[in-house]
Amino acid sequence: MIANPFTRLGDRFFGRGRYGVTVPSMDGALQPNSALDHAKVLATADDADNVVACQGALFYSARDTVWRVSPGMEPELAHRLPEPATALAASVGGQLAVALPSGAIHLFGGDKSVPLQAAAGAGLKCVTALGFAGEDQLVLVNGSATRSPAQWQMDLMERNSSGSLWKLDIGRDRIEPIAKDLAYPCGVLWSGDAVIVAEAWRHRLLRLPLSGGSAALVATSLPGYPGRLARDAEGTPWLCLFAPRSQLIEFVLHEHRYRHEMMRTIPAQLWIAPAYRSGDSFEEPLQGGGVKQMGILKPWAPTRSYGLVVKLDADYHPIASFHSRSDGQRHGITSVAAYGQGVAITSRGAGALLALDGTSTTGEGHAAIH
Amino acid sequence: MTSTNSTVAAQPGLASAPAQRPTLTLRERIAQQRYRFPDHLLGEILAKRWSDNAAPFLFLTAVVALFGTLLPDLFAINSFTETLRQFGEIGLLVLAMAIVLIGGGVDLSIGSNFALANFCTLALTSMYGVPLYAAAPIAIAVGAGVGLVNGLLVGYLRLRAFLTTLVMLILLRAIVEMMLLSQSVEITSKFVQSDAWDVLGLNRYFGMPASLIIFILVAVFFHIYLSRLKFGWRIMAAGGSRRSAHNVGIDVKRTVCSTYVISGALTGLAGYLYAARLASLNTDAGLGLEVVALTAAILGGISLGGGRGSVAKAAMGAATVVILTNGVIRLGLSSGAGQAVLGVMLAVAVAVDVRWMKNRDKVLSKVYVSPAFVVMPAAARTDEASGSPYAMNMQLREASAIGLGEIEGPEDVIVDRQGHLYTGTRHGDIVRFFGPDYRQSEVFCHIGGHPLGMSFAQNGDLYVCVGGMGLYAVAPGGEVRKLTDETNRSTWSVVDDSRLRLADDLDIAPDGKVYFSEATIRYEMHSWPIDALEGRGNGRLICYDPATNQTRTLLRKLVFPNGVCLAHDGQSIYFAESWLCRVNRYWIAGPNAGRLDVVIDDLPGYPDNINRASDGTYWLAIMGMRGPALDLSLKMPAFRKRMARRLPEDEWLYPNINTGCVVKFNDRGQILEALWDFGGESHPMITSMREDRGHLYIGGITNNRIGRYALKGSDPNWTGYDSYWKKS
Repeated sequence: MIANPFTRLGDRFFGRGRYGVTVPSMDGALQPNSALDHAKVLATADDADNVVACQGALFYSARDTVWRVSPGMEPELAHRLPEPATALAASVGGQLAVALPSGAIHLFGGDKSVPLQAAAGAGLKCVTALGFAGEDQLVLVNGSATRSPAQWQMDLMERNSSGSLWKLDIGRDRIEPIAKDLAYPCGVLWSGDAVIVAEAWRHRLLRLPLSGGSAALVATSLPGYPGRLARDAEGTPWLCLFAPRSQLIEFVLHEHRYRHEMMRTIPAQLWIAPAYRSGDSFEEPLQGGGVKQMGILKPWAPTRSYGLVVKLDADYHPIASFHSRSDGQRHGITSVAAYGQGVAITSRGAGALLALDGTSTTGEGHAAIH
Repeated sequence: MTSTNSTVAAQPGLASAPAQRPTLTLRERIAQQRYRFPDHLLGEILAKRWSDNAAPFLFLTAVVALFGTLLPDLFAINSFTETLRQFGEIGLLVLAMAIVLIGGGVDLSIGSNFALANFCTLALTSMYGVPLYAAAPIAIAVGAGVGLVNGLLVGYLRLRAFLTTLVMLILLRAIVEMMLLSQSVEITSKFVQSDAWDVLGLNRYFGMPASLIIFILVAVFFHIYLSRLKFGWRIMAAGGSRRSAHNVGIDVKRTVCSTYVISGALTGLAGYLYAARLASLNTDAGLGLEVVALTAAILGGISLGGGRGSVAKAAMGAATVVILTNGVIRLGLSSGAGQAVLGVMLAVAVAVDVRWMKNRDKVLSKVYVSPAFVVMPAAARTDEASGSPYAMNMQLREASAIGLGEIEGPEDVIVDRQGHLYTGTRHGDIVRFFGPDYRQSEVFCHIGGHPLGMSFAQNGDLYVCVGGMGLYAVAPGGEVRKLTDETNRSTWSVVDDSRLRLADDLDIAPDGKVYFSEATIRYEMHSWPIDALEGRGNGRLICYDPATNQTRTLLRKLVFPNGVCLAHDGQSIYFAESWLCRVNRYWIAGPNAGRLDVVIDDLPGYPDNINRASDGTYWLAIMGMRGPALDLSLKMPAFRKRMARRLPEDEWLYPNINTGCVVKFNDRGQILEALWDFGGESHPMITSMREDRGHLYIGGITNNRIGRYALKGSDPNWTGYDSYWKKS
């Protein structure tokens, strides 16, 4: 298709088309509730980032440690790492894979620990999610070629799409690419001969064949930035949306001069950018709807951080959702894992490992109807 | 100190050391210069009704320029007189059409009616020997009679204007032609020549033909009729919305009927003038004139939808059409070309009219908001470790709550001599809490607008600024009295800025004069975020003198002026400019009178009310805190403008008014202490504080309580009233 340059100028002037700032509304299965604010706390841990289920126990990463949570027990330290973990994965057979910022991947199984160096060799320094495809193969996504996972806001504000998808042969420690030029992929889920990848900056889920080949769109126009994916005990896929989209942020993404000045002169936590948590400092940007009236912050107030985890159907379309809204604290949901009949999630905003039990996962428990 | 410095008046000076100004890049300096251009005037001009005239006026200018160039002799004196003669008649017809259009109808019968009047005039003068002058009222009456029939059918019987007048067009045309057949010989043979024909048809007065003079007189009359008299206003109202006009009690039927009568009478006059000019019976008199008149009216900018239009527009449209048709004929194009050009023009004008009417408000709302280039100095630090006088603390957590949940929006609070506490609420009440425990309360008075700043006058009256209303006084018994709601209009303002839109805070000088601020003249109270977005000097400082009942503006172009407070010595007033985060001092008496100083210019937040403290210093409420994201956008007006255009207001970047504090400063602008409720449990934002008998009373416009905080070491007997009015 030949792009008409005048259309583009017109769109830019009027703020429509690719310069539009509209954000999909949370409706239908995504109707807001406050289920996350009522979820049970399994563990309090600042920086609890990635939780996985492994043979009846939960493992979660927090900086340079991995903790084990067995049912009814206090969390115990499972592994100490040389660097902060960036992603975790567990296999059905009980292997645990941990990705590090250097690109090294540590494999724990039984009593032995195997370091895999193939990803580091390929220069992957931003492994945002891992997944086992069987017991001898890992799929992994590298969010950005230039930024680390901690700099994800910078990667968004630079409008990068330098992420990639790889598969790693564990036995031979060899890695090969499947797809490139992804806009911050940070969730991956094995499904037979293909993987589902969450492409955060394009707000969509893709289905990519493991053997290479063209991508198919699975879910598009999500109202937040999709992150890690996991299956619950019944095999139903779940998706975390680690930050909300907002009209102001979409607007700023088109305002190049402002954005670059902002990145140059302002600390990242005070940017007009999505965040895991917000409202800590009065220096953070405040939007009109966020003004407290009579001491009350409206739950619908525009916000830079939000808590949202979504249950998907077999076609990866949302069927139920669990929210923590502007007036809640359980924001920045970065991972989800099977836990009993329900799921466990990590909230970077609240610094906690939470459990959503079987009853509330039906999505009927705390529906907030406004 | 500035008080010893008696240099030129109104020179901004700085009492304390100036805050560091950021250095601007070349690009920013260029932007700064560019935004000195008053963009906001465009929106204000568009908001004026007369701005609708711009498009037709430009088109008229273009037509004059085009044909003036193509046909250099078009405006030569002789040929132009003939054009002017036509213009007088066409102008009357366009006016006739315009009045019906403004009334929400359309009159297609004017062409035939014109022919009828022409015939009547000639028949009367020839067959019945009526003098030419005496024929005028009869011709006008005949025209008005036809109009009355139209008016009765359309106005009272509610028939469709288009069909009714179309039928009338055919009917009258048929009658005229029948009469022409039977009477033309007799009329032509008995034609009576007299001087009167020359007076009306040939002579010129002051270089103008009689028909043009008559048109001008009629136009002036109807300009006054439409824009200044109740009859015209009713026509406008009925044309704009039949139902609304009916609901406010206008007799719509009669009003609509009257437009057709006026139209008929004007058509009769035009036909009479035509007869006087040509004195000939021809079958094509008035043929197609309804289309010409309609085109001219629409080209002039009179809306087909009714309710919008003026005599000036009708005149412009008539001039355009006359020059256009004459020009096309003189260019030597084929005879149908004039009609074709008119047809095309009509189609274009209708399209423009429809689009403009539909999008006018949209365009206006997009153009009106016009952010300014603002450079903020670096803000003072507030973090606890900084050692800054603003450093955060939680001292206000100790404040007890008064009226929790009972009141909403206590912007300002004040205590009277007996120790009772007063505050305004967003319901438009002033509520009084009875001391000393403030458990009992009553509605002291109901004003209607949101009461903002308050002060006690010497006689115990409570003076209060009411958002959207003006300056009011409440007697101790609760009787409300308006002091003023307008000031002198600025000489060069586009919009009338004499009304007070957002009187914000006041104080009273020893001589009884009331000094008060108006935060913005461009927006209503609840649109304050738009004013914050603009960051322009839209506010002013005003003085009301109760002795003379006069209100005068003292200072203009202040950026959201707020928090007026009389200095302890009574010689100057302090006021804050909220969006610039600074506090100013304006001298009202003594050797420096008229001088303006900046006292503090690096506040970490947006200042609101200022009030006296017992130790000779001043309390300042900071209603919200600055943030770097918003500060950065202040240097990018285009960014803010796009944000205002594309995002709903709830999504805009706002000044962070969810956190505030109270600080104390002295007359050198030094900050002495700061009181915070960091975390915002009970006082997230603070718009005012008032010291009285050892306590500080705290209000916030978005809060639901008043705070009472015990001040350590302050004079337990000090009251605000005595500080102002007790003679020592």
